[in-house]
Amino acid sequence: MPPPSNLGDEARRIARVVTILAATLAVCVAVSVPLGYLYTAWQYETAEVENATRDSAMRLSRHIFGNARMWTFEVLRLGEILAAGRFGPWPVQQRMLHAPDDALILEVGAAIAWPAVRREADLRDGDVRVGRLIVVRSATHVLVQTATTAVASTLLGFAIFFSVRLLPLRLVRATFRRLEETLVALRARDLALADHKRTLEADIARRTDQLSTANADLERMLAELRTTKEAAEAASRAKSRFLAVMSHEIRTPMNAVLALAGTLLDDALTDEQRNVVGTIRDSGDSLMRIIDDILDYSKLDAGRMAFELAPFAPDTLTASLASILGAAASAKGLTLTTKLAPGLPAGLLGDAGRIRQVLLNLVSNAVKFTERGGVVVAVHDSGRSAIGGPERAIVEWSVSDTGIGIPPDAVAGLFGEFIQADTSITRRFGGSGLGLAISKRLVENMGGTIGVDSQPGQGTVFRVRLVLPLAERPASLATPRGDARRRFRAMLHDLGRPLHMLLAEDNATNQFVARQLLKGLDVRLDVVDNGREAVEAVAALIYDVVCMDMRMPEMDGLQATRLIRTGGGATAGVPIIALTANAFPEDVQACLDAGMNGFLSKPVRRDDLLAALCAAVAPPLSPDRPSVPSPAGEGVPDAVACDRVALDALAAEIGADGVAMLHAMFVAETRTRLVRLATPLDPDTCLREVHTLKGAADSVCASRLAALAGVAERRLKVGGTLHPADLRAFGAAFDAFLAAVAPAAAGTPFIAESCITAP
Amino acid sequence: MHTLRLLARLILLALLAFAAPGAPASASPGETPPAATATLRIGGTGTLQGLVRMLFVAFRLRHPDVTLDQPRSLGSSGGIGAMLAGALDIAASSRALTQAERQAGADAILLGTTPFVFVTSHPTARASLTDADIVAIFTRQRTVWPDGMPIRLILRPEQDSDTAYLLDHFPGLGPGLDAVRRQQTIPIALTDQDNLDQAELRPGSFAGTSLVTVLSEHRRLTVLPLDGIDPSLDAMEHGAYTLTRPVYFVRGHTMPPATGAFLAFVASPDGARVLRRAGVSPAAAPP
Repeated sequence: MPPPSNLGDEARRIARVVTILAATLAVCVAVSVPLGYLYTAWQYETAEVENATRDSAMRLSRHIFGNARMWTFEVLRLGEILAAGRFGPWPVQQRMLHAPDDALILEVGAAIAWPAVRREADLRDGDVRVGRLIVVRSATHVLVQTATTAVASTLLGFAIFFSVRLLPLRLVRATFRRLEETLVALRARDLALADHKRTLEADIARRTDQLSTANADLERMLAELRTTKEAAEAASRAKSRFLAVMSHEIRTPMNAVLALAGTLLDDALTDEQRNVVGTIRDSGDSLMRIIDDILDYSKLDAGRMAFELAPFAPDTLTASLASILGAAASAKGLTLTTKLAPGLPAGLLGDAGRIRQVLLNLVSNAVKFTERGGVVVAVHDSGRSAIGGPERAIVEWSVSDTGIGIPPDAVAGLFGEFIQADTSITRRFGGSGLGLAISKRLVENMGGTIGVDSQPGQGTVFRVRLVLPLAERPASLATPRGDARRRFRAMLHDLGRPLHMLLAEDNATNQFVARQLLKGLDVRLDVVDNGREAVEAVAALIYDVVCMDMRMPEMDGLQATRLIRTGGGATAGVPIIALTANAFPEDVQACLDAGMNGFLSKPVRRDDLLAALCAAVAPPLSPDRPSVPSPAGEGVPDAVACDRVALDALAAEIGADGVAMLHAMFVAETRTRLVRLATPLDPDTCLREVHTLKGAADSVCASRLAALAGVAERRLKVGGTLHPADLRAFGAAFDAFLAAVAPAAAGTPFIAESCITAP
Repeated sequence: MHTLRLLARLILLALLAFAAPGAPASASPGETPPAATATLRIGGTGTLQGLVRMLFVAFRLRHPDVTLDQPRSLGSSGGIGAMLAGALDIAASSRALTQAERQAGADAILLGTTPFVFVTSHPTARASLTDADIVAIFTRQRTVWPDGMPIRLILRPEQDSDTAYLLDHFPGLGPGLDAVRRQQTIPIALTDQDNLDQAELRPGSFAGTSLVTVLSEHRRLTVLPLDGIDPSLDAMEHGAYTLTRPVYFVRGHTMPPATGAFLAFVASPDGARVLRRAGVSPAAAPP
């Protein structure tokens, strides 16, 4: 900011400039106005005298016309005409001269001195010039008027000078005065601002210190929170690990209990003994289901539940529910029916096992809580959705019962953990109380919804809605019961010698269980107590398969597998099946990464063990090289007419009554089907009938009939035909099955010559 | 062919001699016989233009070889000036000579007197006027005739002898007349002929002139009585009509024969009869 003295210099400079401008303007006005007036007035004067002179000359010429001889004597009249000239009030002299000698004819007025305007015009008689008129008019008045104008313009110039100079200067001075005042005020404000700034800086510094302190507190709290969170996560992981370990530890003895109970039931027992052992096995199964629930819940809670994505047939899945729980419903006098909506997709992509788990839970609950009436399982096709990708089907399963219903106030918390509508129910019906909570989490993890409508005393409807991608219909879903043993025997038959198997298991009970499971089968079993011995055994002997426990002293199963795989030689490729109570996905992955070929979760069931042995020792034929089917009987393994073991397992799951009802239905349907197959059928119908026969025989453990139907089906699929020998073999196997399961009901053998000889 | 032309000339001369009624065989006593062929140049005031023609027609009966050269009106002063300059033989004047004109050699011959009259083109306005009426009309204090017709006044130039006559005979007229003249709305007739031409053309006109001009030029105008007296020669000669003015011929010291013969005729009884018929009471009683 400049000092005030500079403002004063500036004001004086502006005053000087304004004064010069005002003076210039005033002088211009004072000079230009009279000059302009003089010029304009002189021009006007000249024009006026010119016009008046011409007018007078014209009137004189008119008078002269026709009197050129005498007009010079009419002095008075000429004077009259001149007197009438329009020369205004100013002094004027008019002189008439005669042509051509310019003799003066008439002169009016005295001589006019300068300033004057002089003009002349010709006098004519027609076309002849007879003289001229000279007019001189005084222009003194013009100079007088110009002088007056000059005086006035000078006064105006003075007025302009003073107004243009004084007023702006006064304004400038006032402005500069205000500027100086403003400058003083600004300086005062600057000082105040500087003070304020210092205060603010001190305030900011204080606040910064406070913020730093607060920040440090926050960071400390954050660190504490992080520690707490890590501790919580560690606790969670510890809980999950605890659950897994507990599951493992519980499964191991339960494995022995269940397996040994199963083997006891295969032996000859008294009815009382059978009842006791059956109770032990059923209680063990219930305990295993509770443990499975806890394990599932633990996985879901830890977000470690893996869902597979594979094609499945929704109708088959739904029908399997009835086949599994139909016997239990029948045992309570209930009906269990399935309804498939028309247009249901043939195939869907999803985790059929988890869906079946949810539905089994709902249906078993319905059966459990229904005393009269029945249970209906329905599948609805609720449309298609193509939002954000390929077309998907909206499928809704509903499970309706006519049971006790659920009070309205209990519906909201029905899917919570350890919830049942009535705590007495747990005592009355048992169960972990986790079933619906697990179902809800499973459905939601698959992107679906689960809901319930219920009226106490009238029944309950559970609905599961899933949106699943469309897929081709899979060839088959479930491995029929009895199939594992049949395939195992077939595999042994193909092998042509006993199966040489090594079991690495440190637990003596489990070693005993394994021996019991394989009892009666043509298996030569060697047992070692740890991984190191397993490696040594594999190096010393040739085994068809190794079953390796994962947790063993000295060397665990994973390490042993890696040593075997890296040992080289012919034994490096021996199939190795993992045995473990750990059921988490990462455990499975660890086994596969170590080089194992299969995985069995404890407690090991016989069917699962046999199926795993079959898969490991004799992998299925490649689709590229299908075996050439042979006529009936050829290539058919020596299957039993009725697989007792499989039948017992089925009876354990659906009850003896269910098995009896299933057999009754199978017998009736098979009689009809065999008669139909004896009639001429088109290839498609024939194939469908044979396929259905095979499936039905598998379901009721009629292993020989199922095997014969399977051979015929493979032949039909590659364009073959159904021979009369096939029909005879079907009839013989069917009769043998009837004789095995119900000698009294067998009655008349089914084989009829009419059927056999039919074209 | 030549014979036929000669015969035709003889027949023409005979007819002319027979057709001249009362043709005098010689000039009247006192008259100087003019030259065989002469031109008489007479001009000046327009007041006497018609009178000059009437006199010359009568004079020519006796002097057929004399022709008249009469320019249009030059005014009395113009005529006298032209006569003194030798451009005219006789100047007709409606005023007496000035001292300077007499000194220049001009000699005025009084022909007689003629009434100064007021005329109009409005016949029904024939009402007796008084001097006051005359002043009122010239000063535009009276602007309509009794029947409502507008009075259309015609003035003469300020220097004209008619204007001077009016100012002399109507005292108090001067300021009012000047005021009217300054308005420049009233037409000013430069010559006597212009004066009467405009008086004839404009309905309701009013102009001053001499009786000789009205009669000698046979103007179709109504001559207005003054104070109930018609401006006739008898009324003037008996003194009943007092507005009179003299008229003159002006000659130089030297005079051609034809000029003398003409002036002698004007002074003769025949000339006097012509003057009376033209509205001029001759100065000399007829013989």
